[in-house]
Amino acid sequence: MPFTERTRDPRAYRHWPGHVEADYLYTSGVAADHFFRELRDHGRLLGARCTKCGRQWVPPKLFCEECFVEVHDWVDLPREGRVAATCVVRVDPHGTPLGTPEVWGFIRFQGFEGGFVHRLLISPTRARAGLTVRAVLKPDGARSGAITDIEGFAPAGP
Amino acid sequence: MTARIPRFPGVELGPKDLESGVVTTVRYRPEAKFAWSAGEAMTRFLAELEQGRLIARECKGCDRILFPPRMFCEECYRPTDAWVYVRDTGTIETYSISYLDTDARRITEPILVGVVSIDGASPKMGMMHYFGEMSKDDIRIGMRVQAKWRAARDRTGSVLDIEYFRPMRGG
Amino acid sequence: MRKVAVVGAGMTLFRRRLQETGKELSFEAARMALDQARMEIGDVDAVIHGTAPDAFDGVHMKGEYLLDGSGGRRKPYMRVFTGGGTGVFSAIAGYWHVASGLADVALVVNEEKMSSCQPHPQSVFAYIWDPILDRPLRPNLVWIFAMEMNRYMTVHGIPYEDIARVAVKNKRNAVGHPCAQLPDANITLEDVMNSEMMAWPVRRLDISPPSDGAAAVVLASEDVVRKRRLKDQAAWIKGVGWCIDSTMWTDRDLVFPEYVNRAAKMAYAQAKIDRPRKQIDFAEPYDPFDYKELHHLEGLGLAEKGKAGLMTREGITERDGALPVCPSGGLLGVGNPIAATLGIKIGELYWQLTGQAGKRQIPHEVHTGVTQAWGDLMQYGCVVVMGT
Repeated sequence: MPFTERTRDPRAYRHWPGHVEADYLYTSGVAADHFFRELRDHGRLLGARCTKCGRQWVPPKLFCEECFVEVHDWVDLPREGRVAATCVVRVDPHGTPLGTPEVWGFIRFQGFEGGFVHRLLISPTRARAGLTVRAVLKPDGARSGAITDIEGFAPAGP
Repeated sequence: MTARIPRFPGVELGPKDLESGVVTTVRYRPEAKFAWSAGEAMTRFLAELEQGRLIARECKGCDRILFPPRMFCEECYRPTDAWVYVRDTGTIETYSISYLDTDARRITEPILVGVVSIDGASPKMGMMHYFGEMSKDDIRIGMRVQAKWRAARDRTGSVLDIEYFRPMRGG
Repeated sequence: MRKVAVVGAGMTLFRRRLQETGKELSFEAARMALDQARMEIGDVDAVIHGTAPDAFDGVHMKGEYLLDGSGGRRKPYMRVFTGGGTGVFSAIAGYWHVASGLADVALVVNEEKMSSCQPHPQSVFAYIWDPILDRPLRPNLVWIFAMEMNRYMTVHGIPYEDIARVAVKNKRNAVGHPCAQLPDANITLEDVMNSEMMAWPVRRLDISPPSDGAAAVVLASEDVVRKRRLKDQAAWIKGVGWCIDSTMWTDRDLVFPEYVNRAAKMAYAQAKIDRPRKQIDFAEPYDPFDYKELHHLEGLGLAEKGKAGLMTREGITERDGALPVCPSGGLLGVGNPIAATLGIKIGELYWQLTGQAGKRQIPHEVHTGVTQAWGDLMQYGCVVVMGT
């Protein structure tokens, strides 16, 4: 008889608790370093353009996924993007209910591959795909060169 | 190729560059908590440690006493057959004199650590543990050792219920 | 099975810290390998990515994370992982793809970015240990290697200086390597033997450094080699083997790497090698520690048990010796970005066999080389034999 068939009550087994501790420091990399510096120092949002196929990537990459060649042309993102999908978040990562629900979205830009997953600075009732939005940045001097320099995306225009 | 390419890709950073903001970086510290099931063999093994005993499993397929105990034999690939107590004495198979602690920090008083094959188990079967009551000049491969158990009230059902292995007296 | 050749290889610098992300490093190495093979990503039928524990880069599911940089998008793609063995094993996995006929061209890309882990990758090595039997003792990874080295030295009566000579040889060999992290033309035996004691018998210079880096190779079928006229830059994979021993490492005698020996026998049988010492011209065994080169030479059947140190002392394993070993400079000299050691194992065999190793080129003619990597909890061996 295999021993597994004799296992009548798994609660009878000891459990050994433990904690995996680790600490990381990630470089943003060659392409994203340029992107984040421009964001931090000049409040600009950039994409990268492949000279071979013309595809434009955001966030920028060092290489074109399609052509697999190095990419070094930089282009400004359009001021306005479009929400492709939304999500209303009511619990934090530990499952604790949030006092105020958060709205998140996937924001795309015309003519660009990719986009940003980021906060939408709107109430849950207004969350919908197709919304035109604009990035809201932290003020000059408060930006550190990270994706959190963008506070979120707010509806553009009236 | 290697002779023809003058420069290989890669942007080297110095030890301070990551901290000083020369390049943009992001920090992250994951929170990961686990409860590993000890399973059938280790649950019994830990309970026996709390009683001050070492236990193994016998495999009738290869006639071996498997230590640490397990519910299946890797060699025969069948369930093991019976619980067998083994002794708390053994032989140092190998060891190190470590000037590094677990986090690779330098320490001045070295840790003596190694593998002890346990008497009563099949040859070479043993466990890793610390050594004590001996100096770095006394320790050697082949040395006979015995478990130094913690006082019964201090045991928790852990490999640390053995404080260390010490030289076997008169053996 | 079809014949499979390596037709291009690339690697990045190996350094303690690189700015590139893992994706970017993967791209740089893969692009170099494709350029050398005169191919574009569209010519690649399948991509194999090799990378070691997720905990070093600090990205879970690293295979998926790195696939765009590896050229795997919208292709048959897989990640392989056999601990430190990944450096050679990913090429074996690439070999299956082409040898089986499922792919004509396979791109193998390996990456490691250990500098993400702070302050030192050592801290996450703790989680490779059994949580119940080993981890409460708060082991340091160097301990197990120190224990293995001690057993190997003591049982065979090998003097420490014969082991330290390996570190001297490899760090000197690395001087010719454009990617090397720790080349040292002037290193002496005394430097190694007097370096800081970490965990006796292991001293600081017995250990290879943690590194960031990436490497890639392009594998092609015989048809592709002929049609694309790549014969002059092709080195052929003659045999592959791999084997793993028990995870219960405290039940094994650490004196001999049985798993490497079994993997070597598997590869030699395929390559029709029955007298390895006579039929193999040079070797790139895995050398994360200097004693491991010796241990592995014995496992590979290139030295008698306990005698590899003597071969090193006699100069047989120098670049101009009768059996050059680690002419690349090895992990000890070039660096140890775990899986990316592909570039100094399979990559070096390729460059040596095709006469492209530059300053590192073995001065006499070589036709057959063997490489091997080692991983998991001192239990895994994989072996590749390549020839002209």
